[in-house]
Amino acid sequence: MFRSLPFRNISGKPGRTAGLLLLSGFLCFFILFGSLVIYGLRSGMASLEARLGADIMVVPYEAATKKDLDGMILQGNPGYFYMDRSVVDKVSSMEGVKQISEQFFLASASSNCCSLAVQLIGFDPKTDFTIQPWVEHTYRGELGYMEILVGSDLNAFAGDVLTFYGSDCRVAARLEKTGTYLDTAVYASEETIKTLITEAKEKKLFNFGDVDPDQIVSCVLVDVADGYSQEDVLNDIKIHVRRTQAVQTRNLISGVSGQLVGVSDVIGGLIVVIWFLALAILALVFAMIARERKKEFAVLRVIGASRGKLAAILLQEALIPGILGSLAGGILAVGLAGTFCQLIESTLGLPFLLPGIPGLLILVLAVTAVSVLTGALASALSAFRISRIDTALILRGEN
Amino acid sequence: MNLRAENITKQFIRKRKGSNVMTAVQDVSLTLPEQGLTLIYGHSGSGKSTLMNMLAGLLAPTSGQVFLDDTDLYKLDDQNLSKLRRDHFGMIPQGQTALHSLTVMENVLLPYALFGKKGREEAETAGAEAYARELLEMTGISDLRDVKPGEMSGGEIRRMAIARALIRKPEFLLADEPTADLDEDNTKIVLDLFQAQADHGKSVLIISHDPTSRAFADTTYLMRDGLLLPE
Ligand SMILES: Nc1ncnc2c1ncn2[C@@H]1O[C@H](COP(=O)(O)OP(=O)(O)OP(=O)(O)O)[C@@H](O)[C@H]1O
Ligand SMILES: [Mg+2]
Repeated sequence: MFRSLPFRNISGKPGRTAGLLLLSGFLCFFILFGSLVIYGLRSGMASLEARLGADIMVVPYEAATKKDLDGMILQGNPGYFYMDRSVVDKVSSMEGVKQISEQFFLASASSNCCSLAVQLIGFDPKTDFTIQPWVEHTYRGELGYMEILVGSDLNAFAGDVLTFYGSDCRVAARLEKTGTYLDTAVYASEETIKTLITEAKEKKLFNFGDVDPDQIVSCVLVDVADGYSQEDVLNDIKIHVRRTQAVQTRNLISGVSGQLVGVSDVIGGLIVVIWFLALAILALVFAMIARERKKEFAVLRVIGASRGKLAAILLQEALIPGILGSLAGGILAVGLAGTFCQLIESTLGLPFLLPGIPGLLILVLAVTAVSVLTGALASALSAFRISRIDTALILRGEN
Repeated sequence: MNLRAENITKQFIRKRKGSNVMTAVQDVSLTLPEQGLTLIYGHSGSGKSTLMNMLAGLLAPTSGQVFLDDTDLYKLDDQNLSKLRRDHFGMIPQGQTALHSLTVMENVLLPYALFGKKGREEAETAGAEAYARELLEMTGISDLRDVKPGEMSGGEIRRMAIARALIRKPEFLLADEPTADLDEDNTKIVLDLFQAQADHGKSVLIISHDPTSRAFADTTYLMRDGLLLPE
């Protein structure tokens, strides 16, 4: 016969419908985008916490004071610093140290994969306890000499050959995304990194003075034994191992965590404010629409529509643009967050990890539902009010 | 079927000198016959519309009852009263009553479209559409079938409302000043249409100031200050 009345009312008033679409789209966009940013920051931080793996990091004194360490770990700025190898033995002999592993850092731009300098991280496969556990998800087996693992942000895949300081390295695997500095890094065994350092020195590309690769390390990672307090071990190291700086990774993160809480509180607050505003605006809009259309509603009652039927028609009229607008807003939010997550990461200077497809779907559906329900709630208010008024009274009201 | 009011009174709360209660309809009893054309006329403000709204199940009386056969309208819940309204009453309210997003044809078919069963026979739908066209033809607005009310005159919208009230072939047709904005010719057309309904076993109640309508009525009442007086 003809398409349902709600549809006709929606298409019959394009201006009004566009307004409702925009409003719910805007609402859904903001809530979802905000939630994605909060989520990204939280899981970025959680991922960083999980990946750091060690209780204490011992680095050269200058590294900690120059903020090289923060910059490297939190913002992913490539960096390198070295200290004497003897630190390893000193630290390992301390009481309460369960296991230790040393790492080597190097930065290189001269690679065919990436426009920016990448962080090269060398680890000792025999003692390593921080990198291999999570690398195992994507790569099993020994990392051979001149073989590397690449972070997920690098444009390189298994089998590719990357050149650092003139030496070819074969990519063994590409790691899964962590949302942290580890995504832009390249991992290799200690031996490989030493070779690269030697190469760099020969090519005079290495400006850290005349160091012997066999006599240096960049940092020592410490796992504290059960029954010992991290603080005590930390203090012991600080006292007994000179010219170094020992950092509790928990503290390293807690500073940022505070910042993170601040950022997500602000965003969370904004979401709440925007939600309330949107609810109020929508309620107002629906009340205005209802007032303008009182007479039409009375006609529906006259021809035999019950209160329930009338309310159902009004709700449908609110739901259809609500759902369409929210979906569009949601898709836009996901698209923007996905496209600009790198930018968000660098702007906020914090690790950022978006959820995977299933998580993303759930979040989108949940937020869309919230946005649609907000519209429904707002319209329900006026639908309820209008359906309570005596039809005869409405009819006379506008004669 | 018969529709009857038993001692219905409607009072409105209103700021007035002395008392703040105004009695719009006072102790009115009225029985609409199963068939025939009933006319109520009277001064503006005498309570005609108030009475009709109470008869139509749209306004609960302050006291008294309205019965459709043995059913007390205002003892029904909203759902059942609405169903009774759409199954038995066709009403043409006072004033302009159009749905502006629908065309004339759709406005007329609306009562049918809104409450139809899902798996309705095609033949039935076709029948309703044919009847709608017939009604538009009879009221003289068939040229406007696909026009929206925004582009129509008051009298055209009025005739559309009449066609809408008739689409479900109700037993009772309640028309509040149906010829208010019609010219002589169209008034005649509409009254003829009502008379034809009455002749075909329907009960028609008209509120009208129009002297021409007197000639069509089987029964006429005068309303004065809330009282219904037989003539
Ligand atoms: N909702 C209301 N609140 C207060 N007073 C009302 C209300 N509805 C009607 N009245 C009063 O009741 C009286 C009867 O009104 P009603 O609309 O029934 O008159 P009417 O006979 O239909 O007049 P008209 O010919 O102008 O349409 C009027 O004095 C009117 O002001
Ligand atoms: Mg009236």
